[in-house]
Amino acid sequence: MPVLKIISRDLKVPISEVYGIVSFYHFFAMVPKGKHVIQVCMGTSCYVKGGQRLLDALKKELNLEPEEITPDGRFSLETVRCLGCCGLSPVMAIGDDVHRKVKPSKLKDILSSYE
Amino acid sequence: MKRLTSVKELQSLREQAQARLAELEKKIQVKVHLGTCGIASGANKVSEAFVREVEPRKLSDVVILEAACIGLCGREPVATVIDPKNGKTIYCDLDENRVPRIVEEHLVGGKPVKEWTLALDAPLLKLQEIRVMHNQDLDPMDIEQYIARDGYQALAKVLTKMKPDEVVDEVGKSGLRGRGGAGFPTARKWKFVCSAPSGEKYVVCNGDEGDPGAYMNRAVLEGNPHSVIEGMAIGAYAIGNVRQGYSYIRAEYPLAIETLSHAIAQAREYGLLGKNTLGTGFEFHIDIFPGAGAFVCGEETGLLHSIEGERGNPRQRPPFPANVGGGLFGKPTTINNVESWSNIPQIIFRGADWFASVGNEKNKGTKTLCLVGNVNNTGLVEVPLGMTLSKVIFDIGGGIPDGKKFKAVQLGGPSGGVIPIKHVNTPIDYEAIPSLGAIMGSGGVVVMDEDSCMVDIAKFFLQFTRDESCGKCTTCRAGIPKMLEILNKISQGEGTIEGLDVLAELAEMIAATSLCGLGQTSPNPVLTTLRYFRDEYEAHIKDKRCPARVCSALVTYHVLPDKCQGCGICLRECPVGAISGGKRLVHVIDQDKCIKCGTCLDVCPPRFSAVTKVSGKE
Ligand SMILES: Cc1cc2nc3c(=O)[nH]c(=O)nc-3n(C[C@H](O)[C@H](O)[C@H](O)COP(=O)(O)O)c2cc1C
Ligand code: SF4
Ligand code: SF4
Ligand code: SF4
Ligand code: FES
Ligand code: FES
Repeated sequence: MPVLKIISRDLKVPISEVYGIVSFYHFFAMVPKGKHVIQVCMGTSCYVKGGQRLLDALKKELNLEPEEITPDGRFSLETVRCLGCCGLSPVMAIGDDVHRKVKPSKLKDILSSYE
Repeated sequence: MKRLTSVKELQSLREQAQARLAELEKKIQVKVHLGTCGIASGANKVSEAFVREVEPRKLSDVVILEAACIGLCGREPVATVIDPKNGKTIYCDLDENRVPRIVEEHLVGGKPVKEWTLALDAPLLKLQEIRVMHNQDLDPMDIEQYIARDGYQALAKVLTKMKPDEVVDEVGKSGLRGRGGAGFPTARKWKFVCSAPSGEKYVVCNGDEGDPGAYMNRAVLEGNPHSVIEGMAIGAYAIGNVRQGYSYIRAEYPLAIETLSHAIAQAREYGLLGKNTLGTGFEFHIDIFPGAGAFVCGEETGLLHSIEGERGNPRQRPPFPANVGGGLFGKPTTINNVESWSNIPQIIFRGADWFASVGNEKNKGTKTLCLVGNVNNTGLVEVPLGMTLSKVIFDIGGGIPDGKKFKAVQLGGPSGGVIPIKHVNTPIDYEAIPSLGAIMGSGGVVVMDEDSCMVDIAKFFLQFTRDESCGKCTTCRAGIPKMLEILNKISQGEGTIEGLDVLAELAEMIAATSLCGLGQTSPNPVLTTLRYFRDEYEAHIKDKRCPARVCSALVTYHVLPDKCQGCGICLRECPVGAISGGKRLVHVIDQDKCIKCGTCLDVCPPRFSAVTKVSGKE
């Protein structure tokens, strides 16, 4: 919230309006991001191919809900709508790496390669 | 490069560029396709591997090039080799380890490595009609390659040989309908803007592509950006009084934005955009506006608000964007989809009749489709409008993987609907698809097999529209969550048959009273699943059973004692320690602890197949 206040003050627009814009557009985030940002695709194709199960497993593995960050700051978790690799569903991005056709059972291995 | 100041200069540049392409064709060209999903699959590494392998061999007749995606998403990374002896060879499923052999046997030895290639006469390729995507083998960063392929010829033609209304008529004659979803005739839309009182006007390209599971517009922007630029310039000329155009592209498409920016800069440098285009006095500029990811911004009035710097809330129409007071900054504006724009240059250059030579009576030309979900050949395809769903899914798509049965296909994303197998011979066009309760949308085709639950899919789309509703209308803001609540109950086995009637009533109300297309069409996924799969809803309600075994509240996982070999893999992998057992002992799942993640089912070795998922009394 403090950041929103600064934006509101500097741009001279009411804070409610800043909040409106920030919450409306997905590209603005209101929580700090982890060292590695995990984006799980929840687009249609990934969903049909098991994206929800992937997300559930990830939540359990990291003990994290979407939009949260691990206490050590190593990972933060987000869901996104289509990473544009639907042909490779289910897809998950960690930082700039896109992991395709991810199975929940492969998560441990994948995560352990990120310090 | 010197600015082109006349059509004559464009023609001589075209000849030079063609000569350069012809020169290339004498060599062995390796084109690694570097679209977003190719890169995600490691195409850059493949490209580097080719360079690494070719350089020390000093193969002077081999050139390694970059090209855009050719839509074979499921087979990425993909590279095309074109050599004078073998013609075109497409390699799929590449990785860097395969590159040395291709270099050795094909580039040096002249013999393609057959087992890694995709046959050019495979139905996947043969049944397609490539028009919008016809430049995907070129380097999108090189405007001269586009010019060599007759690029900007259509612009030159309209600026020097056609009156604006002739351009509109030609587009009208082609029968082009808007590719953004509704299929509104493009020329008719342009005429509204033409006939609005004069004064400044705008053209806008809608590249928001918010349907989660569709990316054909992105592929066009990444692979054929100049076709969009040229189309917009032609539109600006045809409409008149347009000096400025905007391309609204979602920020999730960084590569598309980068490619289009580069293309715009190049077009300006070459004198094909900006002041005094080709020395004709025509002036037109394009700016890119990156949209920060809200589905409703794809709706035309929401999009305009967003460009004006406000929240992308839709507003009441009329006034339509084409009207005074309704467009961008209040000026008459035409908004067309990326694919609509990119069809324009070819309609002008090759003629309306050529465009209308494929398609059916009311639906001319081609449509790009994103074929995804439970289908063998996932990817981007382009087919004549009017091709049947079954041809796309079974012939081009190669059918359903793993021997599963086809269940339904979803068209039109969150505004669309599911179509069951009994209608699978329906033609894909702007009349037939809506008649089944779905919509064409932007071209997302999501194939679902027997393991997909229709209640769950309806829930998925409704969650999406709930999250994306801008909240302006009460019915959309409050009605969608109400529907969702009912669906949630059903998927938990707590629904009632009366609930289904309430669902239908809510759907009708939301469709009738919402302001914009998002709300109006949001009930479609529910209505179509109810219409075609009512028995599945009833199974959830009456038998507390999810026939597709998806709804987690209604499924349980079990180890089959006679099959379990006690290998212990599932015990190790279960994230919550719900499985107990010992070496060579039958393992048991503690149902109270199990979170139904399905990991045990995935990891139990296929030769044992000892884990099952059941729902209801099976
Ligand atoms: C909720 C909603 C989302 C939309 N999203 C898109 C989109 O992503 N891309 C698009 O071209 N049209 C989209 N449209 C349709 C546009 O409002 C508009 O009709 C279209 O851009 C017109 O272009 P066309 O005539 O070339 O089809 C959307 C409409 C609604 C109601
Ligand atoms: S229908 Fe929904 S998304 Fe559209 S304007 Fe109304 S509240 Fe907003
Ligand atoms: S479904 Fe998941 S939680 Fe349940 S027993 Fe299997 S692995 Fe464990
Ligand atoms: S993985 Fe399969 S075979 Fe092995 S212990 Fe588990 S259920 Fe038994
Ligand atoms: S739906 Fe996941 S990448 Fe498109
Ligand atoms: S192959 Fe290009 S988008 Fe998938």
